[in-house]
Amino acid sequence: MVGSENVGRRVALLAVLLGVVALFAAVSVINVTYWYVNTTAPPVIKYVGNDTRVMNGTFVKADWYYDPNTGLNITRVYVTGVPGDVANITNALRVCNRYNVPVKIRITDVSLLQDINGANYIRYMAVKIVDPPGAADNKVVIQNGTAVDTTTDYVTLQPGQCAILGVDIIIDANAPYNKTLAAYQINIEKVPQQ
Amino acid sequence: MWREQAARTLLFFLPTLVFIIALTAPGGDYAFRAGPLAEVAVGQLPYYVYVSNKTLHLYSSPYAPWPYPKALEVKLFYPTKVLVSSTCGAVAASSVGGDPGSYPVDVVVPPGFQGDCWVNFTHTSGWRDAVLLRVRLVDWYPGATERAVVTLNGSGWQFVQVGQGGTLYIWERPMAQIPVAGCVFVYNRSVLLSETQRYREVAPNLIPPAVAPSSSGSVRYGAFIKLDRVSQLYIYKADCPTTPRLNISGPPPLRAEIGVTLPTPTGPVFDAPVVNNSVIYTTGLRVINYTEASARIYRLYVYTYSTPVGLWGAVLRFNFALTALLTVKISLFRPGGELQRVGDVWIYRVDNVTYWIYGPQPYRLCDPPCGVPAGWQEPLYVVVDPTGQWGGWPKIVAVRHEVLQPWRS
Repeated sequence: MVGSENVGRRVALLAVLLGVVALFAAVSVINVTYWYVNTTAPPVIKYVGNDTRVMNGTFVKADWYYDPNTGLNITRVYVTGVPGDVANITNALRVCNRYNVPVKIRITDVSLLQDINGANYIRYMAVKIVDPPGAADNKVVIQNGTAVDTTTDYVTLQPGQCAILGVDIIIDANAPYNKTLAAYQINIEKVPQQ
Repeated sequence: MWREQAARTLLFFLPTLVFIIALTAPGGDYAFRAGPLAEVAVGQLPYYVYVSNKTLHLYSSPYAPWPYPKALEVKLFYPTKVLVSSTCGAVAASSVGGDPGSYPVDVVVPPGFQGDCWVNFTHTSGWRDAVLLRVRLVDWYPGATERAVVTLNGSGWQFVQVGQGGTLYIWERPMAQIPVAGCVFVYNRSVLLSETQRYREVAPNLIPPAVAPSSSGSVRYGAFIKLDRVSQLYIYKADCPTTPRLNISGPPPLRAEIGVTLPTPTGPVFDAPVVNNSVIYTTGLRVINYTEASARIYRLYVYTYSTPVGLWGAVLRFNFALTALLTVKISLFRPGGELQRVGDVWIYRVDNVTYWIYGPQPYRLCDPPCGVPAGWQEPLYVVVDPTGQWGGWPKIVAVRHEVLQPWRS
């Protein structure tokens, strides 16, 4: 009888010790992974529009530059208005889907980046999706230098299809000639489908 | 009859005499034991002390008394005390003892002492013993076993810090890794006033870490040195010497253009930081003002600090959100004036004040517009010199590790 009590005590002591060990025990399993960082072409590619050839790009021209600090490629579009007249540029920039799936695009985040020689001379400027048609809101609008409509609706580009962007612009007749009035940031958002 | 009286007297008197002697003798019943009163032995000594019989080869320092705790041991076999004295003032206790047992004796070699020194143990009974201390004066901070010797080349006041991990900072900028992290700085044969300040990581797991002064975290020890071309700084792993708190006013406000220009539909705005919270830390040598501020697209962690040498400094760390925004101005720090690049630092000169900056380009106008930075930027370390005496961050010419060895073996 005494022997069985001792055995019981030993078992209890062992259980307590095991419990203490369990308190301090930890198991972790590390699964090793490695990640390749690849690159691919962007879903759309921008081309200068046909109107950039009009008068050797007097009214619209485009290029791009590289920002070494952030690594960004930034597309730069020059749009020239005629003070006191209405200018319609119907084919300033083309945005083409280079994926083999549809891509939705829209113009968004219009904001005044730099008031250089009088943004308020820009009485009206609209950057619009001329083609494909169908968007309920197909243009972003700047009035008196301030963006008042900052985002268009999406349009869908099928593989290989290009959107055409145009610009309508009215510059105040009192604006100086041959001056850069302001710089705007206008983003083109691209959403691949499927 | 006479014989009986004599026998009775002896039988009564002699045990009584023994009993009285046992009661009244200084050693009690030990008075009847044979053997030595005490023994003097060598106690616990650091490895750099060479011992030969009862001769100890010790060091002394010019900077402070060199303690050798429990260097000697007196084993008493009687309940008595022995007198202790030394010929060089190396023993503070005048007597040790009491009950039988072992009694440690601390030895403290006075600063600057060199030569032979006797530690004498005596007892009124005539017992005596002695230990010889052979002391060599060495240019070393007492008690330390190792030191880092940093050779610097520069000019003007430099604020040097050592972190617990052995990183050597100069004006808060990490400059080198040294083998010893300690609180005792010896420069130009002087022990420098030093400070202790803790730093914590404001965001975990960053490389390089984003740290800020704090009441908790890892310790850095700091001191000021005035460099004149090539000099050597000794850093010992030892307890901080007692430093009187200097009366230092707080750092001046950080008057500078800080922020980025952001486009908005209505026009560009300058995204300047707004202070969220600010804490003052006062060390023995500096007053530090730590501030966290936020803006639309970044958070700024900045601390400025005043010093007793006429210069002051700042450290700025930006954390930008990832955006697709363009900007025409990125001003991480611009107190005014033209930005110049001199070697690996940036310099502004505003009136008679020179701002020295190490880190990313502190001010940039983008034409054409450039992208707004993303993520954690490298820290900007700023030293502001209204004195015109500062020569920039010094060069670390060499770092050496030295370990104290016994001077005789």
